[in-house]
Amino acid sequence: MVLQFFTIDVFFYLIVGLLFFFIIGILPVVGSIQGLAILLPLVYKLDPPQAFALMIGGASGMWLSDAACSILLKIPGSSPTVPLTFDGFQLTRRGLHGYALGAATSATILGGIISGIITYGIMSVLLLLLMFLGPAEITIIIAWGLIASIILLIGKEKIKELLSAIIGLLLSTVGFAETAHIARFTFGFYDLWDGIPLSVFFLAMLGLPEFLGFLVRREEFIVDIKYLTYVGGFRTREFYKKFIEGFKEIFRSIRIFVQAIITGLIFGIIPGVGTTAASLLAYAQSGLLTKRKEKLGEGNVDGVIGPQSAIISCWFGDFIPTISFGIPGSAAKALFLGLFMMKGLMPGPHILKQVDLVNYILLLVVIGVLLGSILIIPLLPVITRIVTIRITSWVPILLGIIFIAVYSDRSSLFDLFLLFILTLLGYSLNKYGFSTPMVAIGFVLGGILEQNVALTYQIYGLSFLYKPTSLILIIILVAVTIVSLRMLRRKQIIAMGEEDD
Amino acid sequence: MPGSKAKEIGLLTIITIFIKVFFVSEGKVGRRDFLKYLSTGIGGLVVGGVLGYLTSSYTITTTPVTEVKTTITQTVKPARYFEGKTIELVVPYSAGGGYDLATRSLANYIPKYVKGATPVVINRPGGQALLGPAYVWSSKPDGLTVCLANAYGNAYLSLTKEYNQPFTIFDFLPLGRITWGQEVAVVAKNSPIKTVEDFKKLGRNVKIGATGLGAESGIPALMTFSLLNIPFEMVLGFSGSGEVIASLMRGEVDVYVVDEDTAYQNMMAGSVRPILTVAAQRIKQFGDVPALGELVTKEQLRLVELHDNIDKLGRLLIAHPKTPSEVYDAWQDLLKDIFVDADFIEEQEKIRSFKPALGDKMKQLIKEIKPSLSEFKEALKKVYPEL
Repeated sequence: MVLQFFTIDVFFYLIVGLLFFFIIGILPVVGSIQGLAILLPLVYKLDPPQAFALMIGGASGMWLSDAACSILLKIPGSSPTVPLTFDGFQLTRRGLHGYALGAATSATILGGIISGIITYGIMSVLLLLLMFLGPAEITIIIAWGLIASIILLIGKEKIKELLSAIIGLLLSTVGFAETAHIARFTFGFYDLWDGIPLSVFFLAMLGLPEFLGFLVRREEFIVDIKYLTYVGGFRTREFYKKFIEGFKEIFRSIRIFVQAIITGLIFGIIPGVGTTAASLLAYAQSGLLTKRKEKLGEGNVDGVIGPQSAIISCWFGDFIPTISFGIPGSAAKALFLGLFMMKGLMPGPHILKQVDLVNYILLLVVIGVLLGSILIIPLLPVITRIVTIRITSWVPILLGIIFIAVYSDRSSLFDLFLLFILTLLGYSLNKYGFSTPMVAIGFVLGGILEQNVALTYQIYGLSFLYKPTSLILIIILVAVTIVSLRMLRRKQIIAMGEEDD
Repeated sequence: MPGSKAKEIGLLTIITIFIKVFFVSEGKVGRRDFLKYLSTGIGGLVVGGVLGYLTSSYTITTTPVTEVKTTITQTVKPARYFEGKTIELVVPYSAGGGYDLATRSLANYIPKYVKGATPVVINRPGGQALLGPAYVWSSKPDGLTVCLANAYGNAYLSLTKEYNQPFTIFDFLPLGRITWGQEVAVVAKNSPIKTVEDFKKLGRNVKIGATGLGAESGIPALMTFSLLNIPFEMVLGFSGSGEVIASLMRGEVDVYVVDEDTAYQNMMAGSVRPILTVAAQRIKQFGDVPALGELVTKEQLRLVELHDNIDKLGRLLIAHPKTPSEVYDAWQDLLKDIFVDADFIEEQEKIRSFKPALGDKMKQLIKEIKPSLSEFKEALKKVYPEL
């Protein structure tokens, strides 16, 4: 029975893990991988159920605190929560941070429950996807995601925003190209052989330029003067009213939620694609399916619900190839693989026959996600106070934390230099009307696209387009895009009609 | 750590300037002020960087380095040299992987045998696992900064045309090896390929999956299929072994040459089947799987044996080449105790099979490998000119 694993000490380690990962999540830049790496050497002496509770259960609970960092500060708590900085932060600027956090909380809690049920119910079916979705299919999906994102996010300055995406694509080519066996744009620095580190890139493009802009324009985070008066007298009741409003929004965006769950699960199962790509793709899908008035990127809450749901379902999906074949779906799951083997568990199809153990792990993930979210809710009013404090008071401390986090990732002073240079680039792009979210999308999706295009071409040549799975995917994606664009266009016409009235 | 104080000064300068500026100015930062403070910050970094370069030894290849004087006497246990000292153990990969776990396990046991020694693990990933050795290369040659290097991977990488570091793995002082392993060619479990001969019957190029040419899965695969005279093409660019194995299972690639531990784990997981050991002799745990050495000529066997020797470099603990001999002896004394500790062995076995060797044996191995490296490279370039 599964319940035999849940002893008092297991709950103790679960709570310790949740508290630890809450701190990891709220810190900018530092993500699950760093937290797991700190804990891994400490679990040598623990029994397997205790070790799993500490690490798997604990890490599962950090996604809401991660989201809070991205929504409140526009600094990604970790790479997958980057899309939350686009619309989540715009909501914060309008004083609707409670509303955004409510939406993120419902996406996390409901996403955890639904993903847990799906993973438990149809794990062997989901595994089959691993057999059908290879580099060719990923190429089509990512290419579609890139084009869809550009179409959706492109605003008035079409040329500049298109150029922004191209700049992102160019930046993604920095590094050592295995297929051509040459180093590109590394200028002789071995530190760049693995490309620009994601944490450095997102800070430089999204977070720091925004701060610098505030300081130069002498602005505060929150533009709505009504909410600025909360300094020194933060009203908890007002916060929770908005929080509950945001929590209920998921029921108005069920299609987006379901689409994001499916996207996350699929991307989680396929090794090498990553949660960041899943959340960006879900963001693009939210833009296509949203029925709300606001455009994506202008404070549309669907831009929070979609990506956060995809992150949670991807977290579940990652476990499937890790447990079933010992193929980690992501870097964090590679650490879990190390944990399994340290505890004498050899992943493989035979593990699926140990029903109690598999159920225990899945239940831990669900409990971790739920408990981690529920435990943070009372702390949110305290955490969100940060946006009501004068920016000049806490930015220097935040900068110090960022510098230390960036330096400690690879123990490299070069990363700080890179952060500096890229921040100047990000600030300049912002100042002259280019779109740094577009740069980020081009960078993330461009890197994965190039890798998969190279693999697809080496394996199939151009005949990948005639593969049955490729053809089916192309037809589905084109159909979805046409229908969604027509709906979007109809919505725009109705909106224009209302304005004329 | 060379230049560390200077780097810290640079960092603190920037943080202090920012704090002082924004507290003092209380947010009244205009465009000119912003440029002023930005340039002050850059100045702080430059000062820190210059101080860092002055106090470090980056250009070690031509600049003679001051010998580090030690005070070890013959009557004192050599490992006591580390008492009261901080030992930096550099890992050339991100935290949490096999190298990181092995290094942290080693770090846990150092204080057990040397009281007062403080091991610190530093992750220095990147540059295809070259940044770790580069860090040691540029450190003070006092034997207190060491790296658990992917020695065989670095050795293969140094054979490729893009390699332009001022060192190779053979230039370092080997302190000891934690483990090593050979490569095994695996196919998907339900692949129609049952023997090596079946590759020739395919009637097309065999598709070999690999993360990269300079990786452990690249050059051994090149060598194997060229020696066997089987036409092949490399499919490069996978992110890791998991992706290659998934691709194998989908039938996109035909074969993957991978380290024996990964091959064994995936064989037990039911995803792959071993078809050939890329070595002169068979590996016991793979039973009847033939070895490459059985299928090649006597002349070609030399190359296979050289490859085996490179594999034996394994995960090698390396120190700066100018480390004093007394410090080397201290390391040997320490590792001799740790490598026979039952708890340490048990921990290492959970990560990967523990196959230790001390420094003298590794020095002898490197002495055997070095003269034949260029011959190995030329033989590979004939088959794969892009190398």
